[in-house]
Amino acid sequence: MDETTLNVVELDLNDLNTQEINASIRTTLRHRPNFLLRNALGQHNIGVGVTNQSSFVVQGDLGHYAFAMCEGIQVRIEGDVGWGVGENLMSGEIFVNGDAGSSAGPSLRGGVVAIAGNAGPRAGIGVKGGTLIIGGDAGYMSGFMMQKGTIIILGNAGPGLGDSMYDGQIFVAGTITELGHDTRINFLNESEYEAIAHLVLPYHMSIPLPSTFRKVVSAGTLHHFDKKEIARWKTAL
Amino acid sequence: MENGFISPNEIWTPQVIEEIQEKAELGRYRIRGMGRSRRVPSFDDLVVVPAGLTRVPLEGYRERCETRTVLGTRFAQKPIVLDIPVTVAGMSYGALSLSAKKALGIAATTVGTSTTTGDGGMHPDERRASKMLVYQYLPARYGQNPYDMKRADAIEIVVSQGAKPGGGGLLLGHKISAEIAALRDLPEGVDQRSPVRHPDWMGPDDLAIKIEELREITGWQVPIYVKIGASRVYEDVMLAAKAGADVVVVDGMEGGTAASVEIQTEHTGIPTLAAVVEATEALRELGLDDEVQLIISGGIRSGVDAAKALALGATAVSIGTAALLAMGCNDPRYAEDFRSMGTEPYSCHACHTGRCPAGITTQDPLFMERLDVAVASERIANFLYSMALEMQTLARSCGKSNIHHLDETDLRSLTWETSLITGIPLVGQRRNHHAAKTPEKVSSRETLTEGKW
Ligand SMILES: Cc1cc2nc3c(=O)[nH]c(=O)nc-3n(C[C@H](O)[C@H](O)[C@H](O)COP(=O)(O)O)c2cc1C
Ligand code: SF4
Repeated sequence: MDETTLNVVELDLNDLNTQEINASIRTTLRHRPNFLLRNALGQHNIGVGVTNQSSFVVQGDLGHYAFAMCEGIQVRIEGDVGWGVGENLMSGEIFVNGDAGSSAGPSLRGGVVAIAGNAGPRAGIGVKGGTLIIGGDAGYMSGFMMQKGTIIILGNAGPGLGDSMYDGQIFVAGTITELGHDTRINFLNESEYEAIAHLVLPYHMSIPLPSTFRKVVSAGTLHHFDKKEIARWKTAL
Repeated sequence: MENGFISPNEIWTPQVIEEIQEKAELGRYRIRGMGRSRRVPSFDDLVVVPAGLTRVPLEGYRERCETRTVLGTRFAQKPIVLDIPVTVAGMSYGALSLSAKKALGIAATTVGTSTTTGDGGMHPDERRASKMLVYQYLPARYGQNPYDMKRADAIEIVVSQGAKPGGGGLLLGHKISAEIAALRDLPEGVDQRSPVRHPDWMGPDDLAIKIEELREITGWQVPIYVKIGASRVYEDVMLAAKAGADVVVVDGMEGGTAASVEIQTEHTGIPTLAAVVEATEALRELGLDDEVQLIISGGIRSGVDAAKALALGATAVSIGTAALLAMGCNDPRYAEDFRSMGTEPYSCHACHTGRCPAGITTQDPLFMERLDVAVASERIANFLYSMALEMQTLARSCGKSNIHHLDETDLRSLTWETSLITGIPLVGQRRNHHAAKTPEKVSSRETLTEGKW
């Protein structure tokens, strides 16, 4: 066993309740910032509010809001997650080697949330920065009211993609069931393709990378009310 | 000309005509600030019944009347302790100028109460100015971060507002300055329409998990409030309390706003008077009225309104518009500016335009300069003190040494309508003629058919 392995704090989540798990993380964090969380059985609210440089490997599934409101964390979850994984992440990285429920990476502000499998509805809702990567398909209304940042969907996107987005960009490799209101498709240039490759490849999700992506951006028609655009506004207001 | 041509028309009133003409120009609904303007049943229809021979009043100068108020005693390790049961409601930096936010913080600190952030996150100056600061957790999550959350003295999950229950925040492009845009991660000058629902939870079951999340982030230290615009108050308060809230904030339909769709403000939700009654009933029904504190807001104008709300079961009240008025909103000093905006002092509700002549609801440096933080904060503090004194005056006259001892027996209804809503006996009726507040409550319909009225 090398020194790093010895320094890893192991917690058996089966033995502890949510409060005890998070309290153990908080009290140990400063001195021993590397954790192995074993036997995760879908508990909610694990690892929330961590703002110290730290790393976590989670074996099993986590419930809602896993690692919400964090900064500077490196997380690898070997399982599925419930709703709102990585909510409001400021910086760092959360990799889910499984599927995610609704609202993956809501209000993301920085760093990367990467889901190897599929993500449910409203993935990347209200994203304000950072990158959300979905290896599989993304559900209904993904990227709704996105403000900044990047969403990459390697599979297909459900209806309402990017609805009412203010800004930011969504790249989709597969099919788009239906674009959301006030969006348009832009051509992808080579440097953008390279940037996607750079973001995706560390997660070994899709090799080789799909040869094309479509880039969805805000059409900006809802940025200011215009009575001449009433047909659009009727759906948005 | 025959007289008939100039007689007033009850259907097509000047207001209705103006509204239609304005909408014909705009091509959309009207948006405006301030809050509801039409009359709804209110605290004005209740009177306080002071001591006589049945009770002994307290001496104004000698006998103390306690105003201390504690919020968040249910689960939080550090409940909020206020010197007076009047808090400053959440109003965003963006809707308000930074000077206005600072003035509110300083005033609240001076009188020993809390103030609240808003839809735009927490500004460091606001944190510095406010000894007790409640951090709003809203659907849009603008500027939200773990550091501000952990710096807060309480967290308020905003489900909705009384001025627009079921509607989202609005901040029109004139107020999305470069700074506000950067803080909210929005394009500069965009018409901001905040989402109506939270991005990552939907109903009461998820809310319970969400509340646990916020407790875990803040180490179970600070109280978690849930704010709800008054609509199905009884059910909503029950669900919020069951989901684990420490404090429920109910904002009646009179609730103020910086910008709302006018029809939502005027025609949705229920009045604060009815809301406090339903909310109290819900907590009592659950047996949680001693554990979960109730804050009532929406059209609270004075210590009198506040005392009546407390008598009906609230632990504290919260004010928005009254605090803005105290600091200079609608000040006749700016009559010229008001006229140039097509309004008058005492009638302005143009907060959505970003051209607030008093420098309160604007991001325009020209107007912002007009608000002197020291003067404004002193005026708000004076007003908050006046509210506390008014409440104490009423409580003492009822023989109460603590304003939290005011209760339903200290009130009478002036109108039948108010009596039906509140269960408070109509003046001239003995209490046992009115069954609505007794444990064996009979429905209003039964009361009427039995001819008890
Ligand atoms: C200028 C202004 C801005 C407001 N901004 C918010 C906000 O950001 N979040 C919120 O929950 N409520 C907001 N409100 C509503 C208040 O928190 C509060 O519910 C309301 O003002 C209470 O009614 P009152 O103004 O009659 O006292 C705002 C109100 C005003 C007047
Ligand atoms: S004076 Fe300013 S704060 Fe007051 S109603 Fe007018 S615009 Fe709003």
